[in-house]
Amino acid sequence: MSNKKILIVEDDANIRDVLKLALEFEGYEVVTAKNGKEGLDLLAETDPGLILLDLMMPIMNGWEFVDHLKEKNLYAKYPVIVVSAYSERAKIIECRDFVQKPLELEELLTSVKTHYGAGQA
Amino acid sequence: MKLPSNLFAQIVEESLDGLWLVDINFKTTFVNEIMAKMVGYTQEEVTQMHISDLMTKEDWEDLSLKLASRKEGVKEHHQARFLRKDGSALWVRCACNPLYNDNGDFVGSVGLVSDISELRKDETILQAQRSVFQRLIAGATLEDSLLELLKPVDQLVNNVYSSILLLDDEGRLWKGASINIPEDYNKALNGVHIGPNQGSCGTSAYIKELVVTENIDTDPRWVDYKALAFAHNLHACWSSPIISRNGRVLGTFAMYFGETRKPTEFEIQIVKDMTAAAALCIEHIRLMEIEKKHLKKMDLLSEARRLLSTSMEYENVLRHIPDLVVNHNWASWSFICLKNDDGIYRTISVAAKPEVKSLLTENILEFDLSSDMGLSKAIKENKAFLQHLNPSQMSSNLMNVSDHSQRITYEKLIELNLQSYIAIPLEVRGEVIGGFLLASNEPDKLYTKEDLDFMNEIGRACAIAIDNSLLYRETKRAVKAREDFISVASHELRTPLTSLKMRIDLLGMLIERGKFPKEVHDALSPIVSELRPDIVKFTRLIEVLLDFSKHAGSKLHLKIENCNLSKVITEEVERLRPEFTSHKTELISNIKEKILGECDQVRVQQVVTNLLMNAMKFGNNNPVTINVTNNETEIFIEVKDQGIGISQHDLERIFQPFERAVSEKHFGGLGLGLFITKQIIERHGGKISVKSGDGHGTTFTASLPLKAKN
Repeated sequence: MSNKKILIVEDDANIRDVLKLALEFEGYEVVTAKNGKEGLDLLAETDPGLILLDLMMPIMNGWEFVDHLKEKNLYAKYPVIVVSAYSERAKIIECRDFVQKPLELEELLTSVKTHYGAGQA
Repeated sequence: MKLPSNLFAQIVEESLDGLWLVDINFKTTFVNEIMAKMVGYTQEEVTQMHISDLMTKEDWEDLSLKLASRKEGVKEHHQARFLRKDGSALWVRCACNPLYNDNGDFVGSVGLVSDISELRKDETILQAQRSVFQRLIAGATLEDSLLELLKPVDQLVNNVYSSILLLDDEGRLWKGASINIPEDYNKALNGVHIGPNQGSCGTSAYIKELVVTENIDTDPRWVDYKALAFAHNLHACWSSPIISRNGRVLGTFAMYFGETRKPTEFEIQIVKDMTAAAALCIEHIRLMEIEKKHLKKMDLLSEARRLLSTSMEYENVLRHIPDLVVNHNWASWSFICLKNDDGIYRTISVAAKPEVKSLLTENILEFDLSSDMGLSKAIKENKAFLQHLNPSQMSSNLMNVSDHSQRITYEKLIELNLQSYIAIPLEVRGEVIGGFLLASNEPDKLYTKEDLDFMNEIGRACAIAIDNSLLYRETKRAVKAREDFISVASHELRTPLTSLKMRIDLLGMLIERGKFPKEVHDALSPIVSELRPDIVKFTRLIEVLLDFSKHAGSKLHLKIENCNLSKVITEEVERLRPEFTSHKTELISNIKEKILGECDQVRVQQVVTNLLMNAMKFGNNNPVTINVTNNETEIFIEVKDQGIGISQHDLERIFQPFERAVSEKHFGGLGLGLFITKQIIERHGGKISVKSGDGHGTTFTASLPLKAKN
């Protein structure tokens, strides 16, 4: 079992799968959640070194997810990279990095490498 | 000098003037032969007559005052009217002198008299005609004018009955004006058709010539009418057609007499004078009527057109049509109905003059297509028509109407006293979608074929307006559907594209990292590298579609910020430079530094990208130049290529969505770039212009205000 864990919070199964696949090739262990709510539920048990977060999701969206992290004082602990098609609105969310969909895989992987484990416990 | 008495006698007898001597009591003492002839008596007869015996009572009252002054020694000239033995009038001009005996006592008067009847007649006619024309110009009615015209006839011809009849378009004669003719006789002749044996008037109008009937009893042309003429003691008649300048018969002028006789030369002259003057009167009034009617029509038509253009909601506009026709005095009652979605015609509005409105009840507004009259008939048969109602006849037929509701309708129509109506169906694209009706309760304002034609025109204007608004609605729906489709399609396409792109990226990564056996690697590698540019192109097209759906739906919101426009533009130019390099096109940029202003930076960059990519695409690999300058209020972004250019014809439409000036074969793309560019610039309050000629390259110039409008 690798120690490098990443949580993907993304409602689109297709994108979730390919992100998972790519990251696993890079040697990460990947846990996926279909929305912000699921992501929060998995957070404690997973304790990831990085979160890839979509914004537009049912039940709990990306903005709400970040708000919850902040509420629970977990925002500093888990670095968040936002992966979204909604560039304009994404700019007003606080995050380590922002990757615009449709994304360059290389760009994403570079960003993941940079920010992985940058959280402060 | 004193004249010898024989010479004096000769002068008296041979003079062309009359000589009239009276005593102090104005009894005749002497007249010469000429004078006797003038009044139609013998010299002996006149010699015993008093002047008052030779004139009407009124005329004598007038003249006696003048003659009295002779006693005072007054000499004077005056005009007077005498009565001849035959009763006709004699107009004279008279030079009067008092006579004295040797002692100087007043013994009578002498008058030197000349016959001015002919002159006087002409003058009377001329004066009457002048007065008629003055009245006409002042706006008198036709009947008043014609009556005025007949007055001198009555004055100048003894015992005459005169009349002017008017000819209508259907060849019937109607009373225009008459003097002395019994009203019963006029009534009996009203509406008589002209023809070869239709009395003097009907015949003269028919053959377009003067008809002289010296004896009605024996004239074959009077066979059908002589009983009527005798009943009113009419025995002779001369009638002449009144003919317009273009040869059309307008009516007739006639003189009737109570005894059989021949016309005098003077009467024939009067007939000619009268018909000429009457033609002018009638033509003038007719022209005025036509002009008035025309103006009235134009008034309504232009008002209707104005109304119809006020809104694309045709139901709301058509609602006002009845008001319009009633207010413009085209109807005393009008309504319009339209077919609802359920296929039933319903009245949407009614208008009426106050006196009719008070009689209207609900049930007359109900619309029932089963009826065989009115608008039901027009709609069922899709045919406009006019009908004259006869309320009195309708009430006598009421017994025969068995259907209860129909009977109520009839009763109501009788109560409303409607005289005629016009029903117009409204046909749009082969379907009768409604109609309107207008009705008049004025017996002398029955609708004519001309009115029907005109209302048909109003109907057509309505139909066109309806068609336009339907087209407008359809177009709006179609545009909306297209925008919706693009919006949904582009969002839907983006999601699978994202994962597709990522999978290809992943595949590429794996190939690069040598994760496959050499054979597989060598086979896959070129395929994957060919895939990547396709994906990039695909992605860009979808971005454009998404942008379009935002802009076309007016969803573009600018995020205006203070910025250094020079820097914003330079950044974008440098970002695009590698693409120009790989496209083997030189990119020359002259960007003035530090142009500060307000704009949506991302959008301005999009404008630069669109213009530069456009120039690269159509630039034929010749250098592309971007110049950026400013003045106090604006920034100018100019992008020049030296490519194939755009023809004048195409320049007009290149800013429309999905328009491309060149054929599809040459260049790919969706044709939305310039549309979006224009939208962005205009939202900023700026302008974009283009200059080009076939083969001479193209220059786009965008100007944006430095202070953005909000």
